[in-house]
Amino acid sequence: MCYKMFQQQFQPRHQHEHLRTRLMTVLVVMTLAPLVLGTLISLVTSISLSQYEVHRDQTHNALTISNLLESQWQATLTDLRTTSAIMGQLPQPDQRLTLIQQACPACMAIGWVTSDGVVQWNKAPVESAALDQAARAVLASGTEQLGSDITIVDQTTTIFIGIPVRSANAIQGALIVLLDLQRLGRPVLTDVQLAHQGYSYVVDAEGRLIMATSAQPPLLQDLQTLPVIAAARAGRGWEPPNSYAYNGLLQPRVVGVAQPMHSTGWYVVTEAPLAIANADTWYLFGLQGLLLIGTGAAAIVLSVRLAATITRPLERLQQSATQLQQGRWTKPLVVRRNDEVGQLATTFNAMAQELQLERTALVARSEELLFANQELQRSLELAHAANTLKSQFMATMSHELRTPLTAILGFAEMLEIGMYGELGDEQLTVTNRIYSNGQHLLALINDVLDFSKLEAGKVELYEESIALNDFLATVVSTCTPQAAAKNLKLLYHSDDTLPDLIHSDPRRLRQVLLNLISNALKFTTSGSVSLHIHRRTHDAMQYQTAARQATADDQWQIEVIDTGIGIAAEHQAVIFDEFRQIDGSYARRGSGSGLGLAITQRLVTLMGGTIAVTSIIGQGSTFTVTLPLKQEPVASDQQGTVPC
Amino acid sequence: MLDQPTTILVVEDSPDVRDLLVSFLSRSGFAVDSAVNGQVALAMIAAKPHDLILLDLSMPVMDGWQTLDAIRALPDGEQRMVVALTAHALSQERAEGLRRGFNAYITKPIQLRGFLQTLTKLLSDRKPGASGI
Repeated sequence: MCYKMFQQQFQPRHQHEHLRTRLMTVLVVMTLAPLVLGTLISLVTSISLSQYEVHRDQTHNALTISNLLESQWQATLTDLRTTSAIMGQLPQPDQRLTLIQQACPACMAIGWVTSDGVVQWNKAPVESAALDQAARAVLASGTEQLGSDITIVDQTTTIFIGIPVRSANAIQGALIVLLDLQRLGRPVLTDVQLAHQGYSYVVDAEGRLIMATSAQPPLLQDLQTLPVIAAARAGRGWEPPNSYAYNGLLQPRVVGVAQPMHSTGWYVVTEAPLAIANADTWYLFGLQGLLLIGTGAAAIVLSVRLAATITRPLERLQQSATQLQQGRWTKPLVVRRNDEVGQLATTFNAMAQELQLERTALVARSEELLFANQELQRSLELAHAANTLKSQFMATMSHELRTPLTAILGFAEMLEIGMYGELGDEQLTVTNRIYSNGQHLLALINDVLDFSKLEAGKVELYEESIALNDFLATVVSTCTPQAAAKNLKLLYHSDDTLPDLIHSDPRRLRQVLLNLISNALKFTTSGSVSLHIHRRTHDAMQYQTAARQATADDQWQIEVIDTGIGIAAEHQAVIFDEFRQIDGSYARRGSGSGLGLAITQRLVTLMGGTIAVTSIIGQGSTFTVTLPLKQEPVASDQQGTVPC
Repeated sequence: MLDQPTTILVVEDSPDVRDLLVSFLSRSGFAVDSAVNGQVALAMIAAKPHDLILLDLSMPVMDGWQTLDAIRALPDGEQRMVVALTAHALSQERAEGLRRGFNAYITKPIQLRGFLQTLTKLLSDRKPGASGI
């Protein structure tokens, strides 16, 4: 369950898709952002530049027009002056008017004022009375007169010009004309083509429209509120980018320039619509937009492919790793690149192969182990069966041997105690021999049975409190007859550092002591066998208090010391093995199953102790049994402390 | 008491051991019967109330365990003194025997003088109780 959750949690599908998307996004943004930004900057710049350009063109045109008009104006004046100078020499007034008519095509009305104040017109203007007055004023002053006001005559703007004509310092008369300004300026305004669909017109010093190429608006309209004219009249330029677009004379949102004419104080104004001026820019922007879309699409496609190129090997690697994790890894990754990803894949392949090999080895090893385990189990069962069989055999054999032995020992005893009549000395001795050999046979049978039970681990200890001194005295007294029969001294010494009561299995402890003592007696011909019992001393100070409570690692020792034949060093190591009776001489001297010491050693081990032997050939042996010192458990019950 | 000697039934398949026991016990002053297996013994027990039954365990036809159960199943079976005398010397066999209802469990081989003392003690412990009722 837990494993499943872990797997789901680490389901990698989501993650690498995310990685690819992120990579793609970054690439697309990084490609498109500069493009878009560049396009916008270029658009803004080009709009601004185009406006500057339009303005510059306007300025240039306005200057051109203004120069042309100026020269036209000066030429007209010069022509009029020149003509007036020679007019006086022409006798006929008609001739004079015709001359002037030829000299000034833009002159709408031409008149001659004689020295006596008679005004003659070639074509009489509508309001000739006012003009006549002005003409007489020229005659009276004797200086050139320029009309202070521009008036509309015959639907065109006109200005009055008067020039006195002298002859030998005497005034002969004066030439007067009404100059058609439209006729003067219109060719110039029409001829100079303005770029960007621009147009031009002229206003006088008051800002009234005096020359125009179109019929609307009407002439002499006051235009001083147009920003470009207001700025010019105030002596300022009207330049971008501050406020270049305004509603012009003919078009809304125009860029305009007002150029002053110095001799007349008029202004030439050129205007061009911004929409037209910007059209090129918008066209350019459209092209750039198309380019942008094309580039963007290409960038997206390339980014997607690039992202895929970068992430695909990682995805393959990841898939392979997932297979490896799930144990489905079969074939190594194909490595086509030598970059970091390629090296990673190579390393991964090596690792995966290694893992696969180890996994295979592990499986094989597991199978081997399983097999070995089964073998072991079988062997164990066999051993167990054999052991059970052995135990059964031991029990049966013991039973079968005991039955005839019962008859032998029983009848021998009956003979011995005279139940079948009094026996002679010799008969009694023989009967004794039958009986004691029967007993010996019984001891052997018991030894074999004991040993097999110990080997099979079937012996259990039944521990109880033992009054140590009484117990030892009984054991020693049991052996006293055997010692007395061989005329040996049996000594017994118990240390007073030992507690009165100890905890042990009395039957098994007795068996150990009897085995060791009777063994010692068996191999000793003269001298003594002594039994020393004492607490094992690590530290003498520690045992000064005799009745001290035993602790977990306290021990006591039983030493059985004899003055017998001794055991050679090389035999001491094997003396506790079963069925050993050192050599021929030893075997002859001793009689026994050869199991006594083996049984003793196993009993001591069962009781948690150890047994050791030291010996010198010809001087004797010492068997030392070391046992854990246990007392009546008292820890939980203080009342239950040793009663005596 | 002397007019009515203590009766002992020896149930034992081994002829030598059976002869030994019959010989020793009769020479020790008991009235002794013997049987070769449990089946024979049961027939004899039904005919005569023995003071003590010495029962071998491993026997053909009907072994000691079955015989014990059959004796205990008799109307006065619980009062019968039945002693196992067997070559099964292991301690757990002894414990099992006492648990199953033997009054005593004696293992072969026996030392005759000690054996006699044990029997005498068993009988003397029993008699006052028995006559007391």
